[in-house]
Amino acid sequence: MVDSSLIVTVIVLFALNYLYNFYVDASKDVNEAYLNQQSIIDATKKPGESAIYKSNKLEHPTGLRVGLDIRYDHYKLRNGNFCDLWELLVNGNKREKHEITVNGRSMGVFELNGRVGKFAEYLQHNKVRKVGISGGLFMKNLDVFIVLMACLITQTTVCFYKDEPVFDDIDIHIIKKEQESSFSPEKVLLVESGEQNSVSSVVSGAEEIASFTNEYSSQKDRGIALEFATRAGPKLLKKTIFTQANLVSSIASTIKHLPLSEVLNSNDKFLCVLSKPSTEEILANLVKILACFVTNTHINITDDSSWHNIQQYKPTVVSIHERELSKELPVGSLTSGLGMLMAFKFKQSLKLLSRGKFFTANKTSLRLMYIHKSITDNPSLNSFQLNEYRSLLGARIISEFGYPNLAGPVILSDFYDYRVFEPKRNLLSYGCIYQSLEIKLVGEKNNEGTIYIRGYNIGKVTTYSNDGTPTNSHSLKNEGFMPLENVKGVWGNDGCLYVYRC
Amino acid sequence: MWYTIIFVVIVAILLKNIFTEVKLASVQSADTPEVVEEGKFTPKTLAKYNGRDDKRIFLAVKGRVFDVTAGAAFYGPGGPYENFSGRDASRGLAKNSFELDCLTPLDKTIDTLSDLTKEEVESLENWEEHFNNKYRVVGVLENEQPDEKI
Repeated sequence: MVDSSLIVTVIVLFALNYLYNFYVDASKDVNEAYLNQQSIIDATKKPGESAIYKSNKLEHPTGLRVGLDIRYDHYKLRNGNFCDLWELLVNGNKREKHEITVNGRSMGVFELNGRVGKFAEYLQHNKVRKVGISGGLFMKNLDVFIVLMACLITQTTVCFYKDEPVFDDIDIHIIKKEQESSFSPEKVLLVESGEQNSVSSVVSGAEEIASFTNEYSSQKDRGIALEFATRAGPKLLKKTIFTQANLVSSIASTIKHLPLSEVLNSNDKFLCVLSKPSTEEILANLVKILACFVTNTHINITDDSSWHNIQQYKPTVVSIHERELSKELPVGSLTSGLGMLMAFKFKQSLKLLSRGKFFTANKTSLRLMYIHKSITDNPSLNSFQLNEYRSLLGARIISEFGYPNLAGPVILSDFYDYRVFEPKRNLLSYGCIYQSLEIKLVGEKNNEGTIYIRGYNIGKVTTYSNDGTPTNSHSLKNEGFMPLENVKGVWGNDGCLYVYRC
Repeated sequence: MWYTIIFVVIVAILLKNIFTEVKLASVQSADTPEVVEEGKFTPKTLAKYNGRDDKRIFLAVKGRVFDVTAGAAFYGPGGPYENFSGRDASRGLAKNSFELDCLTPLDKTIDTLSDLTKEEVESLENWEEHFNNKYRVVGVLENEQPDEKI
């Protein structure tokens, strides 16, 4: 005869299990339908192609995210330009004093404003049209920050190159002292130097200025903001140019990707961790730094990706390359030494996260991490490992997947997406579509096809032979769509794009 | 004895279920049969793109189908031109009339517009130019082929 108390106990346990699962499902961060409909899909498609997909976060399903929608002349809207961004930063500083820190050296925004203004005068006085900076120097120190900002607000093109310039059309090179011998002396300004031909000497005597005059004219929206010049082969040079509009569109998309209640704000401390100076990384970081101008967020930049260094900044938002995160902070280093209670909480959080409820084992000041990598690179972290980081760091994670001639990513994960997938071979990246872009698959077979993208954050690529003659540029064939090479895509029924190696 | 073992096993399974099970998401590749291939519409396949049955709004002018979703305030539900959505709007536009009489029934062949006056043809051409400038062409309107009928 079965003991009736045993039966009652088992029934009670089943009931508790049911109620617990019911509670978890009922208290998810977002409804399941939200994660299952992450795209707007065009109602029509061309033969042999998929329909065109766009982000479902767009207010107008027929358009893409173009700009910041700044109101002027009472009712008109405009996209915004770098002068607007700088004005927002300076005006934001009137409400709350900010400092910008680059590799440990800080400077107040008003002081920076004075120096940027002085360097801008220098550029205009000397009719400088293009400034060259080695990619390795990107945001390495405040001098480079000042030069970059002055160029952006005066619509002077900044040309990044890898080791040495590949085109001879640069008016001024921003270099370190040890590179001086490779350049013509009259075309050089040194960084982190007090010599006469240095950035410091140009901006010396600059005072703090608590305002930035910005009268709008459509002329300010124009111009090539950035140029990336590289060697594409022994006899081939490649130039990728980005207009202000490319960057502004991407900044708007980055801000609008976050839910309204979680948007970057003046209480946030953003830390940008620089690593490899590739086009993708420079742009991914620059877009986020400029987005912080709009949201009045504290900005810190460092090239030391060690976790010890990152913690010292006590950031609330971090942008870091996936490779650096997995190398500098392996999950094992965070889980070792967890007490029994903590280990239990960690396991529990992984379960809750996989079911859509944000619950973490740890609570830190960090609330959001942007992890970026190239859409074509093998991932260092899978969806389960990302949840481990979420739990142990107590932060939301947005994975961004970029491509060399894009300002910002192609696809990225949703703020509330903590789903865990079974690891799949050849799966490189997955996520919803960036708001500046629309995507379709061409040559679709078994739902797989070549990924074609079109949108506002795509830079224009031109290749040149060694003598500077253009050999090829992306034309407007395919109705402006550009293919992504070496990868193929599959649309998931959740509206996300799943990217595999060809 | 056996009951105790069974009890312990059940409790263990439940505890494991409660505390450690990670849910794997299942995503399949998208199958979107509702997406219409551009280039082919019949009056019946066009009809559902009226802003109600489908959020997209299409209408046909002189045999070409335009995506007028961006003009939902005019062509969508409650808009002054809502009768035209999902339909061949040519006759109504030519006559500047919103009357339902100007719409060809769905089971009839496409209106040839052969009886329009010169002024009406001119009015229709003006409308066509307006649509060309403002909206995307997503296909053409053709009569239903006999083997397509249910």
